[in-house]
Amino acid sequence: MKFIKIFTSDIHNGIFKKCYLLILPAIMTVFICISCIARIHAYTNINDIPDFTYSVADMWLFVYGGMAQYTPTASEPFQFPAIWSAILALSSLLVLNYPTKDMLGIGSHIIVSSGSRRKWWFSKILWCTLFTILYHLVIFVVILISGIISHADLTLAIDSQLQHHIHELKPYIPLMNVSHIPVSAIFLPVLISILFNLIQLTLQLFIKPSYSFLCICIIMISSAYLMTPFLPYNYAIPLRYNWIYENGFKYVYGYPAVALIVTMVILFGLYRFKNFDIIKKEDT
Amino acid sequence: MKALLKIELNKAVKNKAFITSITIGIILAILSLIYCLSISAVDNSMASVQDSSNIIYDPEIGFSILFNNWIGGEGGSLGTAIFYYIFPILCALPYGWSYCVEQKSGYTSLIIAQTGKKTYFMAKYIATFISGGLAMIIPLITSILLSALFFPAITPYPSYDIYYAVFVKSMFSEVYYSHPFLYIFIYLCINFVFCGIITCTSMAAASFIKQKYIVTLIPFSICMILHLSMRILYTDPDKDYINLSPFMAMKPIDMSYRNSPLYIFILSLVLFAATFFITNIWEKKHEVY
Repeated sequence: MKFIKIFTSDIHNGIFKKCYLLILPAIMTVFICISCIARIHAYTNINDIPDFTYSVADMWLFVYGGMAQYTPTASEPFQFPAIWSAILALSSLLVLNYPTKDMLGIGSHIIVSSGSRRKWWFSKILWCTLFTILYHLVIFVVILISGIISHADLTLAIDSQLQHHIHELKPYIPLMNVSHIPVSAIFLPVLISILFNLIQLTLQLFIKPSYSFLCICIIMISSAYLMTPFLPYNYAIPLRYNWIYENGFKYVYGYPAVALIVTMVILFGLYRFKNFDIIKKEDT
Repeated sequence: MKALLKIELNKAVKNKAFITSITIGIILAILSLIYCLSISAVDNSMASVQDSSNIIYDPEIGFSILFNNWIGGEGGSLGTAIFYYIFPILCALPYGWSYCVEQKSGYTSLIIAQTGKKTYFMAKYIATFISGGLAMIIPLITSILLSALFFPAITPYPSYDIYYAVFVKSMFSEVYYSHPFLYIFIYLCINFVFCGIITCTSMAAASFIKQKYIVTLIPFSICMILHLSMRILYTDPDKDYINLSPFMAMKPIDMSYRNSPLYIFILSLVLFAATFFITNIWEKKHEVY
């Protein structure tokens, strides 16, 4: 069996048959965008700016922004960024089911008939990447449509004061006055999301799927708590990038970091999968 | 009923997943304690500076006491941040999946033939409830006991409310400042009941979903939906809203919004009614063979 046949089967079973799952991020983003627009209107009312214009980039940053650097104090308990973590956790949750279900069902037959575990593994890697891209594409499209409906400018312009207000940032966290969001910053959260979905996929070869999701959640919250480039989810938090936050880190390092970790994850997963017992009961 | 309940409880508590869940919880409690001890060391060094400068330092009035130095009483450590984010998963891991697995394996039909549907579903519900509740409160109790080794159990002083994050308008604040152990006990009871009920949503979901690990993540998804709703609905940061998020409501301190006993009660009641109806009434009417 050729690789393209296995991949086509994954596209058919894992994307076309599961496309109803993509309604979830669409619904979620609609509500988030409504909330964003309400916050922007509140901002214009408070500051008395009747002809205020905002852009879809402002809305994008509200959805993907995450949170500013957290400094632990007794009077300010840590609060994880709800929207950011919901977006990333849902993407991990949606890709959790299919690979395991496939391996316990038709997948083992495919591996036997193709005679190659490598083809199956690479097909799942591609499927996971494609599904995550589609997931974020749906979110991007909903943001764009919400922007068009609410008469937002279709530009990458950013208003730092507005971001400060809608993210409810503390007064001592200054955002730099930036005019535009760099294009390179927009794709990094998507790449990080793909990276962690691939890590989750590889972890499933070692531990049960619910535990692998648990690990991803722990890394996610640790990254939100600690601003360090060594916790890769930080690269998915645009409010901590150095183009908008003075003490932020260079987000461009995220690209080589993602490339390196993805390569390691794929090879490590391949090595593990070659010795993986695929004839298992569904006690996962 | 008693015999089956005993078997179910044994299965619920004596399994690897329960031990794993408790272990993760206790590790996070220790992580929280390490953070509290490091902060306390800074406080003590400041006190010694005060001593040397002849400023009267009264150790009886403490910023750093037992009630704000356990995983539920402090809000600044990584341990508490992770624990209160993953608690719905930790609660469902030990036994939330049980009904789903037994249904698929055919164990349910075998046991129902011997004991009857009512007894089986009731025993399973109680065992799931207790396992979820225990998975939550065992790490919390461990945290209190560990912190009690290092921090004095001085009654909190209302003037230092910013150090305790329990304010005048906070839920049961008068109990906190008069009988702090009773306050902790009340919160442990709330945690036990809510986590028990939220774990039962896994059992209820098993009526519709056949994947064990998806069922296990249902409580987390419910909590996430409620938390996200709060973030979406509450658009004015200056308004005094009620906390809708279980991630925050389970914490005995005030996060950004005020905990409301009525909301926690109604949410628990709705979840209980829904899960009990699905597992004990709706599911009973279905063919299991």
